[in-house]
Amino acid sequence: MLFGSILKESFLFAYHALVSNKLRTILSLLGITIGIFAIISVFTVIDSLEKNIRTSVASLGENVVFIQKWPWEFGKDYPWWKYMNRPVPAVVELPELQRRSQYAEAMTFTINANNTVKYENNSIENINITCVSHDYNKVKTFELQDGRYFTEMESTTGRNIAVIGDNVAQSLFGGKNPIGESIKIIGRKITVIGIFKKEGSSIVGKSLDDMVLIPINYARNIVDLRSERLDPMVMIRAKKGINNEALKSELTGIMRSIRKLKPLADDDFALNETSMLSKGFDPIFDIIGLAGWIIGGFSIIVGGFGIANIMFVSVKERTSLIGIQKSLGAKNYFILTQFLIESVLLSLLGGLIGLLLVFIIAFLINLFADLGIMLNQSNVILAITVSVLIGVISGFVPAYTASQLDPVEAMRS
Amino acid sequence: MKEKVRPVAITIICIIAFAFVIIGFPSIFSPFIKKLGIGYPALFGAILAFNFISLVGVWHMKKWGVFTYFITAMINQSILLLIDRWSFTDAIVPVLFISITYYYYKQMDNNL
Repeated sequence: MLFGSILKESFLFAYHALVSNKLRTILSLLGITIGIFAIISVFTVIDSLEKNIRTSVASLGENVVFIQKWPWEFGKDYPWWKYMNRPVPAVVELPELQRRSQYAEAMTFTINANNTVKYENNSIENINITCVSHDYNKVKTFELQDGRYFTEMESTTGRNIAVIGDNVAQSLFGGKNPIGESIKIIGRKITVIGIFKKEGSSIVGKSLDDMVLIPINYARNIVDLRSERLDPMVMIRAKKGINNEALKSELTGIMRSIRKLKPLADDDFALNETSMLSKGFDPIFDIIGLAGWIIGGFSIIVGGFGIANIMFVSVKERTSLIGIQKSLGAKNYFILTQFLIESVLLSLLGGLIGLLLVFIIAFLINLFADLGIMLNQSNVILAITVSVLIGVISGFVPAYTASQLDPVEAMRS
Repeated sequence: MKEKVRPVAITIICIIAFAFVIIGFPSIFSPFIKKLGIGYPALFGAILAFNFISLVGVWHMKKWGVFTYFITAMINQSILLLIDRWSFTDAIVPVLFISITYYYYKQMDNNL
């Protein structure tokens, strides 16, 4: 009760002191505002980008292993000359992999090409044409908004059918229903049988919205499946309860056996997984985070010195008032609390303005660029914590000095 | 009220501890602490603030400063142990500080 009333009284004292010196208040909290803005904006951008990347990577499949020619590695020591002469995965290797693997739930062979897609007078250039074997729908997670996926018979016989992305459907057909209509790719007529549900843009990999999916057995009539340019790969989803390491170990054995590699020979294939992609981004985020931390950290320290300075001025200005308060019976802790609350309020106000700026800028960026930048809970808590902390640290010494003043000396000044 | 005379050893150890507080301040919002969990920056921040307050107390030769420093140092070391980040070097300054202040404890003031 007593503590509550002291706190309330101290708060009112601090509030009046801040309001009566508006310009000084604004100038002294500016340092904290800039510091909090610098740190929290960098952390917000990093967290949002990280979240977007992880969501995009997860959409590729967390328990999926990709057999490819090139490994997904990053760094300056990438031994590209070792990988150059490797063969690309072949579609004929798929049945053997399917027959021998015990840990695979499903696997699919895919190639990717970019080409122009036409419908009547409409055409879109540079659309991703993904050619897949039948089990693609069991390896990759997706939903259809209309129509259906290929039947096994259609995949095996290589029918000229396609499932198209939402953006492709909108651009080619406008408001018209694309199901049953024929589109043209490299002069071949292909019937649309399904439309992917809108997925949104993806930072990693290609979005389904801009994709045309066709059976690989149809694609073999149009393109060379062994062309490296088409990035052939086998995607394998692990069975439930099987981790990627176990699956990779099994696949290594099977692939080495299929390719008849000698015991001492290096693997001539790469087993990639999505976690390798997200790991590749970690050093970049670490560097950006460190830069934001250093810049913001220095701003906050400078801001803290500003608040300490202004609090000393405040104590000096109100020395006689402190003397009167003490002579009327105010305890040391009351004077201490009064100045400490003033300093914390000042700092907190600066921090909240910094947070508000981050929020407004994030809102504007999302409004114009839709980058999904969000100020999250942990960054809000961090900003408030740092603001309160700098208020306590920079205000304690002036507040303590004020609390130790001799009432007679203070009144005389 | 006249302030007690501060021994040189207390002055030196306080300056060292103040330097550690200033160096340690940016670490509370470092990406490393942030990755530990949502509440860790606040927790380490509170420890740092109490650490600073206790140093001010010890600087003015107050017994409450020693108490506050001892408690915050214990909490800090326990948390470091719990999250498996404790190292021998983390304990050097607190042990030195507590030993020196304990030696001069009787000369310190009881008041706030």
